[in-house]
Amino acid sequence: MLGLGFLASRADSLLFVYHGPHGVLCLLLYVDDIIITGSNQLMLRTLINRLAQEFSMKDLGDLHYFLGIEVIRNDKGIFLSQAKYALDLLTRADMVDCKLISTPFVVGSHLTESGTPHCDATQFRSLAGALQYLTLTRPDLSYSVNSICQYMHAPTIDHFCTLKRILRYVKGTYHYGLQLSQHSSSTLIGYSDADWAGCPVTRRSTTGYAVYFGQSLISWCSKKQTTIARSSAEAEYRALATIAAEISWMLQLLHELHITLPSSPRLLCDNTSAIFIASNPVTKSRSKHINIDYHFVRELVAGKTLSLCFVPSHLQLADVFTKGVAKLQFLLDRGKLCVFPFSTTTTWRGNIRDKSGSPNYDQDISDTP
Amino acid sequence: MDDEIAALKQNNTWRLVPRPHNHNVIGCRWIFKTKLQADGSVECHKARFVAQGFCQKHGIDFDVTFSPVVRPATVRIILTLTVMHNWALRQLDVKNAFLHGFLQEEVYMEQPPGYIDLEFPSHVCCLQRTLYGLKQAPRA
Repeated sequence: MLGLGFLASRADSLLFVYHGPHGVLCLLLYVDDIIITGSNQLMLRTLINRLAQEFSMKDLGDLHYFLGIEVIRNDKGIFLSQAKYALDLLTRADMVDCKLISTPFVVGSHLTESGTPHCDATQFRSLAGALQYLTLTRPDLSYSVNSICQYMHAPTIDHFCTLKRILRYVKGTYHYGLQLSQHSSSTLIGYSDADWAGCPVTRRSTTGYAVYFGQSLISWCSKKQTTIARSSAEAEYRALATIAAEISWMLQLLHELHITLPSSPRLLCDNTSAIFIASNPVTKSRSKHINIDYHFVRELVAGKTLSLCFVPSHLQLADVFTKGVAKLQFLLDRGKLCVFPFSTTTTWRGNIRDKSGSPNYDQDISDTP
Repeated sequence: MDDEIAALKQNNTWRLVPRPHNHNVIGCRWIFKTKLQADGSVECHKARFVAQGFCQKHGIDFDVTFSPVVRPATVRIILTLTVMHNWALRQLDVKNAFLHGFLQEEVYMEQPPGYIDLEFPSHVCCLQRTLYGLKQAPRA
């Protein structure tokens, strides 16, 4: 690979980039699957021929199917769907004829370790693992799948019921997928949120974030924090540090692709105290114990690599990654997370960066297929 | 089966050596799979020759194992750039991908059943390339 003038990206060692006088080529490697894209058709063809001389390989033409993910071009851009995988999963779980449900998680509920152990832990692990793979194109499942996966080691009947509820939700929405949009500006926007002391047993908080590149959701996370936060501001601040790390990684990747952003990435957070801690180099009695590496975000803000803004809670898009939310809010958020049902002409009239306060979402948010 | 052996031979996957006394020799076997088309008809019969990697001992036959896997976020960023700039998107599939990697450790394996060398039937294969089933395989 390197012999052909490609450079291995430092941000992701399985991404190879070539910058030539006539354009740029990118090559993604996944064990034995290769995706190639580039600005110049001729260069692309030359590369495929040269690779074919080196290794015995099959040219599969345009990208349609990659790692169990269907890649479909529509009038809005690219639609990523795991519909077939979701259906196979339901067959495996013997839940093809189950009743549908509109949300994957019960509002306000939290799983605990106590309860009667589930008799078939292997089945639980296998299904939970399969659901985790489904989150590749389904950010709406992220929080619920993450919460059951925390109990992989000792699943109880309660956990299994939660898993079944997710599967019931998947059944109604198996044809949903992630829409990557073509009409977007190249700006990075991150939403960060934390659910302070959400876990009733360990009192740990949950980090949730969503990063948009233009209008496309490219990265998200729902994760329990590793330490206990003493205040909500601290929990939010730790969430900010996590997303700041993710965004700096993306900046490096985009830099290697020679993509320049029109403005520095914006981080949106709904906690003014956390924004205050991140923007001001003063240590208050309530924040003095926050570890130094979390001040990493402060440095990025001071160096103008990132800008921090306040976002009111009702416009916060990372909320769904930190807790189970009510049906109406969930359906609204799902659309904002670029998760739509598949159709060749997806109607998408909303604009995720619509800050007017009333997102004009009028697409189908009913919960039946 | 013949195709698979031919591919292995062409790649110089192993050379025959006398059986070593101070070394672990791992087993091997054939895996047969019938690939079906979407309508249920037989597309092809596939034969894959694998090494029994579970016989390998950590620290002796292998040290580190990992798979080259790209981050999902990277894929999404690249795909977003692709649609934004309307670039072409192509996919390639490497045949016998694991056989392209070279082995750093010394690994000995029994000869493939059905293809035992007539001249040196008691020799074993000293692997030079990775083979499906080896602990080192995905690292290639």
